Amino acid sequence: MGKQLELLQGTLDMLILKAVSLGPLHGYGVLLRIHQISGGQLEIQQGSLYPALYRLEHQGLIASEWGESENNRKAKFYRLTADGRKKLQKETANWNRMAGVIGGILSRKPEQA
Amino acid sequence: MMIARIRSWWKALAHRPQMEAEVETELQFHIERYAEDLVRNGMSREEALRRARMELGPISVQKEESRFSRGLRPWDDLVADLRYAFRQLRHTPAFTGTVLVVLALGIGANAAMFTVIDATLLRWLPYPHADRIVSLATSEKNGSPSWVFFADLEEWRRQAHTVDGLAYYTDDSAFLQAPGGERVLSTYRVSASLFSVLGVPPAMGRDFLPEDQAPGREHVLVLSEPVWRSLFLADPDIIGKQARLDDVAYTVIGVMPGRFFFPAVDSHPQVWTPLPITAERSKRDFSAGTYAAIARLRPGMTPSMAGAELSGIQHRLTPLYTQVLSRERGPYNVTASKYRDTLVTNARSSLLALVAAVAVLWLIACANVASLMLARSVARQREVAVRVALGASRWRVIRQLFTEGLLLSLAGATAGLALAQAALAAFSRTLSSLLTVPAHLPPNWTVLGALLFLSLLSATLFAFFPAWLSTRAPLEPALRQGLLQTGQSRGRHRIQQAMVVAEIGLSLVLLIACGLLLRTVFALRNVPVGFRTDHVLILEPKVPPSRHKGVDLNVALYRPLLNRVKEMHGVSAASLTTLVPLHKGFNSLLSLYYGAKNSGKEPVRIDAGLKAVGPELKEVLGFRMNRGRFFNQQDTADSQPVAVVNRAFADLIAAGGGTVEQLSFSLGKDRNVKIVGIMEDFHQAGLDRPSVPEIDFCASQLRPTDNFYQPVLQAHVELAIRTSEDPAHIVSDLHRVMTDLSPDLEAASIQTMDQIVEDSMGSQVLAARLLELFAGSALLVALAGLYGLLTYLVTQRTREMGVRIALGAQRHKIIEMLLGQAGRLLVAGALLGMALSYATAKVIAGFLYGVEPHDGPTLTAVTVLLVLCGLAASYLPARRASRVDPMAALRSE
Repeated sequence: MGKQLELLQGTLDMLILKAVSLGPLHGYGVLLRIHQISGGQLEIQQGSLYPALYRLEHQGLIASEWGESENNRKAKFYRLTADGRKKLQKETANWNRMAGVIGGILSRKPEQA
Repeated sequence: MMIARIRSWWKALAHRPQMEAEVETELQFHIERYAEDLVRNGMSREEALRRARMELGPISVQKEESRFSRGLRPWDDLVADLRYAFRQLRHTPAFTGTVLVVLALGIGANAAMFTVIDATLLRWLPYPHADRIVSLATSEKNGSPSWVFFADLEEWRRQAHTVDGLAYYTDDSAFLQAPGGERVLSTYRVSASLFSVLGVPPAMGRDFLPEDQAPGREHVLVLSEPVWRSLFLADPDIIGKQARLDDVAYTVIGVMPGRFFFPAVDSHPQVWTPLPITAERSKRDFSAGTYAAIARLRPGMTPSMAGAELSGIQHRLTPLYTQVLSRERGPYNVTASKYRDTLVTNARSSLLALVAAVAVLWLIACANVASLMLARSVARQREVAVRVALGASRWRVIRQLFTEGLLLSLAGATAGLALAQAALAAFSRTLSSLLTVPAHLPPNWTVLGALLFLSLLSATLFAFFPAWLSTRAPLEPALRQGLLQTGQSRGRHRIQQAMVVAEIGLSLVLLIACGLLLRTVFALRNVPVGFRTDHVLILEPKVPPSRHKGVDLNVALYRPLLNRVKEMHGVSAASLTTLVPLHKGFNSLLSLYYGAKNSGKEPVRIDAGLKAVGPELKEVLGFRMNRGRFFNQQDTADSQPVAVVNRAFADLIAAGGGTVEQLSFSLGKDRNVKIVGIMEDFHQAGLDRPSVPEIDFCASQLRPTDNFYQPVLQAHVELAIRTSEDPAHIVSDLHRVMTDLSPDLEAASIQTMDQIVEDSMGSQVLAARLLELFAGSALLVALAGLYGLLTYLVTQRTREMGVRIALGAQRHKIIEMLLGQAGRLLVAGALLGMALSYATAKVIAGFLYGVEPHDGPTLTAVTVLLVLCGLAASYLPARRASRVDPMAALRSE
């Protein structure tokens, strides 16, 4: 596990959407997957996970369903909805654009100001 | 997305336990899985579980978060606040009770006024765009408005551009015989355009057509829905059936929708029939009838524009009038006013003044509750400090305190509404006769909405400010013990004093108004009426004239009744008369122009009351003659017809350059009337109004064929009876005599003259009674405020009192000191009240009679009363202060 980076609320929502877009997951599974696809660099604070999930569900971006986990225990699975997919695409585009702009600013050399 | 939100919100709200169980299951699963992973990495099971639980956080927090993420936080907060407020209020029953009573009074009075205003000034009319319907009236150059001639109406219809349609009508009452029953109804003879101008077509059958107004074709009838239900048994095939109206056959052609009425001032069942246009009616002559007229404004037009246009048209029509004088003085100007406004003209200003009085009462109530809340907030300062110290935001605390105030306000408003209904029921008889509203006035949505708004406003006024102050107070001293003895901040103390002064001032305004009105009523009661009102009974037979078509009721019924009554034991005199003075409900006017030839004076217009009275009336009513004689036994049916006039009439004749002896009226062929006497004036229209000119013919001389017979002896007749003993004893005997003579007399009404006089003062008496209520309530509330403040001060300063007494201060000095403080507040309040009263003097001047708004004695008396009451209310707390046990006071730390 690498150093914990500070995460803003909006970013967490985006990461959850992305994690879930790769296939339905329960809450703990979302945690694991984010950790996994970040290459071990990112660990979500557990206290803020479920509020985020509930919020996203309230907004209709993910939908939940009760199902059975790997070891046959009852768990709630979340999957991405059509609205969620659209939102994820939009947020990804925004993020990339923003990252480009800020990156450009930050990489300015003094004589180019 | 919206639907998903609503669904999840609903689930959290309505299925809370289920949702929380789900959250719990989910979190449990999470903890299990995480623990398993930790165990796999080498931790012990208990350690792993502990770690997992710790990282996730308390489950209850997660549950709460799950609710908040669904946007339920405001709702949860509100429920919590309400529960807390309810508990707090229950713990202090004295405070809660007082506040509820005060608010019930303050808001209840407003609720009653809203209901009355809603039923009168904002009255709902069953016509689309009712505000565009205007009432039209003509007047002479400087005269008062009156009904319109048909010929003029026709010209207006043809030429006017500001109105979209014109209709006219006249009122009558007729006896309807129908399969379901028979009764007297309000029958309106109307133009064919009436319903289309109003914009409401009949629900069944057809509307009137212009052809229906042709003479001979007018025997068709449109019914109102209540009439259809009761008298025609809601017959679905009613169209085309017949009914008899005043014994003439009419065909029913239509039924209006339910809840439709026109005109709006009449609460009796109504039917409408077309007015036939005869040659007589089309003349421009005072013998042609006149009609009430309405019109519908074109969009964008105002009543004054319509009035101006029609006046212009009318100026060109006046020269067409046939009689010489009417050419110069005929109907000249046209005024158009909104129909709704004409419905309550005379009561409008009284209503608005009462609204002001009620608003003042509300302000007093709010001030009182505000100071109570301020005092209470000091007592709860510690609680607030603790909450803020524990991390509550200021706003959150203010919101909670405000919710308490709102709860009180709504509870007070509900109690007030119940009070209002009770008050309206108690006053319903007077109200319905004065204001032409139905006797039962239930609250409707508009009233309830206004009440809700008022509750919110009240809560804001008295709860918000103290709450805000509470949160601004410094925390540390509040958290420590001994706050109660260190006294409150200067600011709050001053505000409380200001509240009490304001309450006293406003109460004084109401008290002064009440005092002035009571003096007005007293003055009115002592106005010399001009005749005797004691031991006089007035009998009003209510026989439908159409029941005895072709029979002269006077000969057949009233004269025999008079004779029988005169023979009764206990009756000393009795007489027939058209109408007794001060009695409302009928009016017969004789309009004439008098100008003596060669006198050089301008012709004078006289609108004289026209009556027929029997020779015994002078004995019954005991008025005096100025000159000449009244009727006596020598005036029989065969001698020369005579008449008397009153002084007002004679004065007008003199102003026209002549004398009453020169006047001569004609009753018909060879029947010229001579005026034989002038009565002293007495009040006929109202105790506060001057005497109306009047001319009385001798009832025993008039024959059915005479000119003036119909308006004075057929349209309306009353029997005036002077009794030798208490009038109440005779009433049952009278009833027996009447029913013996004819069963139609059973419906007759019997009143004493004193009652009639009292009814004529109706509006002032009502206003005085209401003000007594308001001013009394205001005084009570203000005194309660004063008492409360002083009690509170004493409690605050118990320690100080103890020290003073221990240092040797005498007890009566302490009482003096506190009474002095109270006295200062009272004087300040009284000065404020007098200043306000002075400023609003003009508002009340219009209602007064016999007393000025700045009347010295009234103001002094009322102020002294207030100060004395205030000192009395302050005595108890003052005495308590002087009784403080110095040892106990010094010890309580």
